[in-house]
Amino acid sequence: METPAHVGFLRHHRYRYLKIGLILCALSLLLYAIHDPVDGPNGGTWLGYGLGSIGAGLILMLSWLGIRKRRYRGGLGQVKGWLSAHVYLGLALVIVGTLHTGFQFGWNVHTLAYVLMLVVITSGVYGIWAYAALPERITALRRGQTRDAMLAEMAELNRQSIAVAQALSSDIHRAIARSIGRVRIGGGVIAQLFGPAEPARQEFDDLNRTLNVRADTLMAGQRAESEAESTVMFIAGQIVKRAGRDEDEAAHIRQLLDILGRRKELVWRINQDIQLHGRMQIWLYLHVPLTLALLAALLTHVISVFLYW
Amino acid sequence: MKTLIRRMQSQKGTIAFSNIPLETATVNIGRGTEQDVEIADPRIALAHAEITPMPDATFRLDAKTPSGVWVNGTPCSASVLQVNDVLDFGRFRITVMKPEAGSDLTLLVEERADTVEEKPAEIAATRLEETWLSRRRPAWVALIAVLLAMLLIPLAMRYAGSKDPATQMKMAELPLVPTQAAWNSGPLSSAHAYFETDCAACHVQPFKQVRNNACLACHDTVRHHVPDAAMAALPDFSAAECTDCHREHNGPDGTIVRLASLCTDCHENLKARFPDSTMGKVGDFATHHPPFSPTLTQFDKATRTFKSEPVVQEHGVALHEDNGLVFPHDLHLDTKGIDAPDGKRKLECSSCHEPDRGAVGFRAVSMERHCADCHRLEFDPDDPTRVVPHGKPAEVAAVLRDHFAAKALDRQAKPLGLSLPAAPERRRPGPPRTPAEREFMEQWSATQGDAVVREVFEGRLCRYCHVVEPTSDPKLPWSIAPIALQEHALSAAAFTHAPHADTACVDCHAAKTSKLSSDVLLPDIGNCRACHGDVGGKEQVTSTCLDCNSYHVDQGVLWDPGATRRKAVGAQRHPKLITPRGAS
Amino acid sequence: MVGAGDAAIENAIALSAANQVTIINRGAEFNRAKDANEADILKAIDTGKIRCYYNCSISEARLTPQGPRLAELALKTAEGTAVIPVDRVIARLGATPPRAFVESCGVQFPSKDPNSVPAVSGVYESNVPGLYIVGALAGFPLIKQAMNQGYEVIETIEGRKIEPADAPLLRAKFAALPGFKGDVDDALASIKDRMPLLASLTALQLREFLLDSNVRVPKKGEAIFKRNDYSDSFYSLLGGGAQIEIDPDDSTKRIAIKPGEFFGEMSLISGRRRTHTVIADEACVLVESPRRTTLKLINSVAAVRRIIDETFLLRAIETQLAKGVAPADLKMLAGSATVHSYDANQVLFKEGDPGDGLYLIRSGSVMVSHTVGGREVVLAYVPAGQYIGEMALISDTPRTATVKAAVRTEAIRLDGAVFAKVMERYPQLARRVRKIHRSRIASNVEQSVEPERSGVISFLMKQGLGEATDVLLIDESLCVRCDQCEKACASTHGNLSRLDREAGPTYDNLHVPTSCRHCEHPHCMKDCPPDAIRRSPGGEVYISDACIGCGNCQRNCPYGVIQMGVESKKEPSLWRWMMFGGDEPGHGDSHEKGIKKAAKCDMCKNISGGPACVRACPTGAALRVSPEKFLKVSHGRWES
Repeated sequence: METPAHVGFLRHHRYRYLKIGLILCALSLLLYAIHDPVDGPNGGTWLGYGLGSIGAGLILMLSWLGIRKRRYRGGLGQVKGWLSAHVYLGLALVIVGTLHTGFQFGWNVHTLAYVLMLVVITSGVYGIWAYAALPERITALRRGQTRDAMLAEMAELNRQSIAVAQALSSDIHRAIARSIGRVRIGGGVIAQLFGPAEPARQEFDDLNRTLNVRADTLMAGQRAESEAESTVMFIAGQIVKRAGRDEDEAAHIRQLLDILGRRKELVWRINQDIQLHGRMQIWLYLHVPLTLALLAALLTHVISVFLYW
Repeated sequence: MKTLIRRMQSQKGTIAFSNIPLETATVNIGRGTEQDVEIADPRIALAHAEITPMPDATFRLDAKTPSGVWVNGTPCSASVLQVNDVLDFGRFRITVMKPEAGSDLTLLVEERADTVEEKPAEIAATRLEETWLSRRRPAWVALIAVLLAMLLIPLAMRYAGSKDPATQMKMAELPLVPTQAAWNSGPLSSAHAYFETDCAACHVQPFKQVRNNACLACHDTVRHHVPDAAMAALPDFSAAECTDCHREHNGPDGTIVRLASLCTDCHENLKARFPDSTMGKVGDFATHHPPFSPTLTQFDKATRTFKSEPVVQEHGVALHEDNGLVFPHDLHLDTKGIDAPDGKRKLECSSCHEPDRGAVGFRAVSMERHCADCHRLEFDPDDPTRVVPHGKPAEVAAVLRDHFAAKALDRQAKPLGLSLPAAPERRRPGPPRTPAEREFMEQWSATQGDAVVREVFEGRLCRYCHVVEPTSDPKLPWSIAPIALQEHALSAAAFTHAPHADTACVDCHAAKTSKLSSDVLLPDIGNCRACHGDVGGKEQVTSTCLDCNSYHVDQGVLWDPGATRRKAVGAQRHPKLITPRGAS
Repeated sequence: MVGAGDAAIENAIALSAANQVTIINRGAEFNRAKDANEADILKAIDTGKIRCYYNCSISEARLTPQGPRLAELALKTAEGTAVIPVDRVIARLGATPPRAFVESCGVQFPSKDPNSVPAVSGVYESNVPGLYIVGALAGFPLIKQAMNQGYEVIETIEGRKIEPADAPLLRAKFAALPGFKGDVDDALASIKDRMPLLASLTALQLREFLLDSNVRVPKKGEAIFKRNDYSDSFYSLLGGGAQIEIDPDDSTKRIAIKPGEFFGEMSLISGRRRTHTVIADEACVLVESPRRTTLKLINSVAAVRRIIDETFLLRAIETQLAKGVAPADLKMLAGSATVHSYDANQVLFKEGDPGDGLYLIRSGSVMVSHTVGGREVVLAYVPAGQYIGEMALISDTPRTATVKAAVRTEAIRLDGAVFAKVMERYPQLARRVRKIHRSRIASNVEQSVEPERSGVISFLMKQGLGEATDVLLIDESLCVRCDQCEKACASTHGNLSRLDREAGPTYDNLHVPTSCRHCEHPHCMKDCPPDAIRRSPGGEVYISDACIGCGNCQRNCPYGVIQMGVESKKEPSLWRWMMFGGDEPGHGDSHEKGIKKAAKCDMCKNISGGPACVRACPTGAALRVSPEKFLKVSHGRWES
């Protein structure tokens, strides 16, 4: 069969950037192993300068992704290729940067730049996992609906539940209205990432139980009455009428339970959807600001190192 | 199946019906324009539901979206249609009517304009972008914070403030103020640590490497490696930088890089660069170090002076040097002891060789301190406390004659083979001696004196240790040959005895078997190699070139004499330490 | 209001100011009316001022004393029937000339056809000397025509030679004609002589037609149009010759077109790409007429319609099936042909039916399917210009598949028995038909063996991708919902995104977002009053600046991919947004005020590098496929 129609960013161009990254790492490690400067490996040897230049160049190119991906006209190559390079060369940076330091660390701006780089890369590794694992889960959960459609459906379910509850009793109607008001969708950062707290869980469960019990009672009542019917024919008319009313009530309750069940499932699905989306994006709030800090530290590192050469 | 779709359209009060008969396998309902029943409500999916005829002549409604279809007020995913069932699709309502003639199923479609579009209840934030989290603001904060604290403020402190190093250092001590300390790439050596915060002391010009004049501003007495200025002007030496071997910011242990390669890069093959060189090739210590060349003194008979010259200490070849003394080590170090005036005395090396201050070498052996105890210079058995001075021959002779002259004057002269009346002399004080007496005394003291002098010089005393040579002077026909005590045989190496204190002297110096004082007891290189090896060895003490040798050895030429010597400035920089206390 | 001409439109619009007006149109368009009137009525229908029933005729009008209104009008619609309560019925059915009166003046009519107009000379003089007929009576409905012609007549009567108003324009056009000496009438006469198609036109109809057309003189060997081109004009061959290449693989197999014939009519009827390449011959002289003009002509002059239909049929049979068949046999075949119309989802023939004939799809498209294990498995998709059902010509076995119209379709049925007779006489024809049939069976078998593939294909077809030429698909296992595709689309298109990523159905991680499919038969194109929707040579369907914002295309698109909005002229600065926030390029609100125009995906035809959405997708989830690549996509060879 012919080659597949398209591949994702990790496999882009038959893992071209993975190969480049691996070669870069291997070369750096090899040179580091055979290079033996007089006062030990450090950033000031020719190898140190080389690795430092490559590392700085890589950091700049990786940061440029933020701009390139927003240049919708023109621009070199496809954003997918840029992201593929970003991921693999960013991982290679761990080796290149660490070898550049010669393992000389201290409480200074140079080690600050290195640490920032590591934190940025670590958050990026989480991002790779998130981008690989979460999209399919989101699709499976969505079942073809958009978020707005799910919210609209929830509103519809709310409306229907109120309408049905109105036909039952004012107690139930109030309970349903309260339950609607207590539904929590999304929220702050923690609520979005881990699910909102459910303030009325107990009450909701109680309501469900009450309705179930009532429905069962009605069903039992109906059966009992149909047995008694044959013996008490003169009030047959009354019983039949009441049976009709009970039947209605049972049907309504069943309908209401059905709607509540659906709503609960839907709310859970919506909140899951929000969670997955949040977990897919949260790492960027670390990755991007720290990249800016890294750029500042990198600039300071380069200037100070050559200011006091 | 035959279906009749009746659409109710109201236009400002008037209701018009249109009837659409369909003959299809199924009836599909949705927002798409190709659907059989088109529902133009954005909440409805393009293909929302489908009605399929069942074999038992009923009709089943299947929802095509997960949210189901609202049948009689309840959402369901499938339902068997009954007459009067009400299906809600957004604001459209489909009612299942009794099938009209000619159709199996009749549906009434109406668009209800009166239902109020309900807005969903207030929903809290559903996306991270809607929370307080932001990427832009923290990025700005982080960027500006790092730039300020790590770059801009330190730059301002460095260049905009006072250039006086004392002020700079004081500012660096203020708490919480960001300074160039952030740029420090490693701790300074302990010697330089006191001005760690004054980077400009060494990093004199921005964007230029640390060059010699920065170091020489304080270290201006550093000596060169080569003995003459002409050689020092060669690029091999004039272009050498302090930083070639001295690296700072590597911790408190000092700046010197103790790599053998720094030396062997030249010394392994000196002839390539300096074909006239006579120095041997040095590659390492254990195998590629030439034998030692101690500076030995030889006595030049012609000029009667001692000359010092380096002599290669070949293995197995015993070296000798002239010192003018007679001293057998083996006798003195006899384990059984040596005869001393007060009996046998056991001597050790340390009995005569005292370490000097610093235990680098030893103090010169002194006759008075070390030898006189046994080697007494007494000459008269009747007067054992009388000694000759350890001095010049003329002095010695004079002392001796005076002694006997005095003795004769004191009528102590015993006849030595001469007949002389041994009458007690009672004399009145004052009358001079008789000429016979006088003559006798003169004769006696002269004879006695001569005899003893001769004995002292040739016999008993001087000849013990010194070489007595005849002179042409009849009055004093003896002289002592000049002596030269050994100073320092390996002048180019810095050997210190202190680290070797735990080793016995005789392990290196073959004193116990030395019969002649001209023996050179300096151990050869093989002796050192028994314990000392190169870096990387496991069986010996690792040693590098710098353990014994030094670079700045030459006493003649200053390092970099042509450079601007900024001693004055250097002194001003850190006056507390450069200028001694009390001086201006 | 019954009628679709200028009078009906003008009356309806005027009355709608204070009345509820419903206009009943016999046809599907208002193309007999002036452009301005057409635009006005379409706008009124769009805004809801006037309601329109297309493709209807009146079956009954009855009084309803008990009803909501005075009367009710019963209509027969395309789909069924409708009933409208009305107070008034006004009919503007057009006027026929009072023939009897005119004939009694001695004027002769060329035929008994009640629609025919009296024959007049070039200066509008009838056969009765001194009697001139101008304007509607002569067949020219417009006021401007009546005025111009009246002026010309007076000048003629006064003895001054007058040139018709359109003469200089025509002269300029005819300058390209070889041998043109400046006499417009001469040239017109010669054109009429040479083109039998145009023979039935009156001189003035011919002038109208030629005013909209252009004369082209291509060099020998030049391709007038190539196969799969997206041009749609109609060509009349005046002189020289042209060759149609009938075999795309073998350019030497050609059919010659002689002067007096025409070509390019397939695109007129079916709106699809050119099915063949046509090469100019020696001294080729062409009249190129735009589609609308030609359609108008076809609708006005019955003879033209008839000739074109017949030629189309003959050509279709000749090129598709019966190459090398003698014209006489072809005529016999054509004679047996009948034209059938099918609505969407209507069945042409069912699996198991006896085979009755071969169907040549003239416009629209059909789906061939099979029922396997109770499920409908789509086997193939046959667009216009191709044929289906050839089995009946070869053997007597019943139909092996069901064929259903995918969209509104017109098919020509060729009788099986007649065709079989022709095949007997031409063995190479039989061989060819058998060969095609065998390959079809093979591909059908392949399809039915892999029903899962069919599942994805079925899904894609239901999304209208069967008629797409290029569609955006999103692999949801890669999509991180970053919306960069939408931002890229908006940023390159005046801040108005033509793509709604989230909306749209998903099947097995394959998501079809709401964006234009660039259909083969664009639904949007068929109803655009200013003709702003065009197909570019690369195949992209785009909306030009001529859009007036009527919204027809938005309503007609079954996939909801067109939206109305105002494009921004200025693009927000990227760096400024990066540093300070504010309007994000591609995401902010458009602050422009203006009329909302239609916007839809144009495949970024003006941007180098291709579709911005695909280029901007960081993870590679977005891809554009054309139908040939569906199979690769649906083979389960997704790799992410």
